[in-house]
Amino acid sequence: MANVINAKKAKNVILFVGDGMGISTVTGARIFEGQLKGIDGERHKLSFEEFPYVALSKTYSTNQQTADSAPTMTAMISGVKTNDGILSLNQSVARNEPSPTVLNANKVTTLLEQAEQAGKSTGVVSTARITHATPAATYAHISNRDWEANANLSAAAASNGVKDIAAQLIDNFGNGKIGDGIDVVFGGGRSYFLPNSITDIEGTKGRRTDGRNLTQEYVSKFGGVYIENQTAFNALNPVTTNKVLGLFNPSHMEYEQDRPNDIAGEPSLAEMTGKAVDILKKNQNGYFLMVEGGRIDHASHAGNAYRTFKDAVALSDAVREAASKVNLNDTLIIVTADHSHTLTIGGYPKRGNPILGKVVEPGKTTPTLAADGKPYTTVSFANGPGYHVNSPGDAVYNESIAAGRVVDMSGVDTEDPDFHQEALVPLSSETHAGEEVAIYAIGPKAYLVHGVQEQSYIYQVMKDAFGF
Amino acid sequence: MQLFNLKRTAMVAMLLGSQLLSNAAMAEDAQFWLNDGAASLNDSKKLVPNAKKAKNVILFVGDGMGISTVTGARIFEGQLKGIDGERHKCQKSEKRDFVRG
Repeated sequence: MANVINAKKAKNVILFVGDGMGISTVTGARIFEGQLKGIDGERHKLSFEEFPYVALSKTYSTNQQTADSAPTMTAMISGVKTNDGILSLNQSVARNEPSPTVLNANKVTTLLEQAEQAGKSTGVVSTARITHATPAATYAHISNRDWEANANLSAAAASNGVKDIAAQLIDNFGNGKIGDGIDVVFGGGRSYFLPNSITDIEGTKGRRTDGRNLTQEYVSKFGGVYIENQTAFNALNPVTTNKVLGLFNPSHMEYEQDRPNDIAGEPSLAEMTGKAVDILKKNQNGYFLMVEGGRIDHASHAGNAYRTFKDAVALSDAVREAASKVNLNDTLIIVTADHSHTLTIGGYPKRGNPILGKVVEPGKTTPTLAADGKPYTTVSFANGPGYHVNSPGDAVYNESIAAGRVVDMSGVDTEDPDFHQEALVPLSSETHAGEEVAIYAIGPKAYLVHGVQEQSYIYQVMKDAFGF
Repeated sequence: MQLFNLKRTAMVAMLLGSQLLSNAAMAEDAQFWLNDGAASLNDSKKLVPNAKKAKNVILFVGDGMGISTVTGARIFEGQLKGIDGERHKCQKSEKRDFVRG
């Protein structure tokens, strides 16, 4: 990866978003992956840490010091910062605004829409629901990120005819609207696209109460194919496939740790990314692809560092897969996060100490004891559900909050995937954090990724790379 | 005491003045963010690598100054000045520097 300034236009742009992947999570994931491989974790690098250009991204939104994923992705994809919960509308719109007139008047144009209009191919890939905030901001304009299916709309919005997020993936494109339909859509959220008269292959009923089957509509309107499990994904031929909607879970896709247990089987983020690139690269005009590691964030909300790190490593794998398939002279790759989390790496653990272990200091073989006489872990959270064991991922939400120093962890395996780290402030869900996140870049115009920038700057770099 | 109060009043007036000024100067809307980003992009394009030898080098170390501390200090300073803390920049150190991996 030669570090020579490439100021040419980019044919293709790939934006990777590690949802909630703050700098402490990148550090932890790097050490986690290195130690899993049996190599030096601290000196190890994630794939995108080899990129030549790095900057810092200021993530505050127009009304939040610590932002949520809706305004942060809006900033990255449209260049416009906005309010909490808002997807690709400007900051004059209040959350829950139910008037279609107001919503239409305050849309901001996304880079995906610009790419569609320019005749490029487009793709949206996420391990979260494809209607979740980050992927949704690329194609939907709505005043509440939770309005993912029509049944989720407020009564006022529904009676005014506001279109839900899933419907917008179909209705905002083609037939005289923008472009000809998003070419590759891989992610979760199947139930938001299916009517409640249908039970899907994993036994979950559709959520739509308007009778629409949006998976069929994708096929009939855009001439695409619809798939919903690993077998169909594996059989999908990128040479003969031009448009595909793949919804692999009724809600979010599994954490990478739990993917082997999925009912119908689902592809990894790297597999989805690779296949997306293979399909999109056939367009001579180029493509825009957004890939989200959506569940890094969810694992941190649950206070589960193991799954946080494992999903961050899965994102690193996806970046490596993309970088290996593209020409880095004509493809700009940006990797960033929408916001940070309160995950912290503390104490004075010795070099090579297990990143999820208890703090053992240099020259020692037993854990250092805190002032309360109990050992403590290197990784902890400032807030959240706190200490839990044997509670896989989101299962922690079924348990009571246990903040603070609740047990002596001397006999506890803190490296277990189902261990949840201690947290100081008791909250049902751990929160985002407000400090800057990193932006990593390689390819044409990547040299513009430098300095301390507003998050909305990322859009400017991608837009400039495309020459829009 | 009287002097102190006067001083305080003057300071409050100054702070209010700068608050009004900064509020007027930074009315945010979609175009504001697009212009802000375009200006930053333009600045970036003007940066020319300086590969000459340095006569002098000054190294500042903020001992323990992590990224969350930088963010907090920026907002703290901005709020002390009565301006927008989140959008504020600790001048020079945060402005137009290369941050490289």
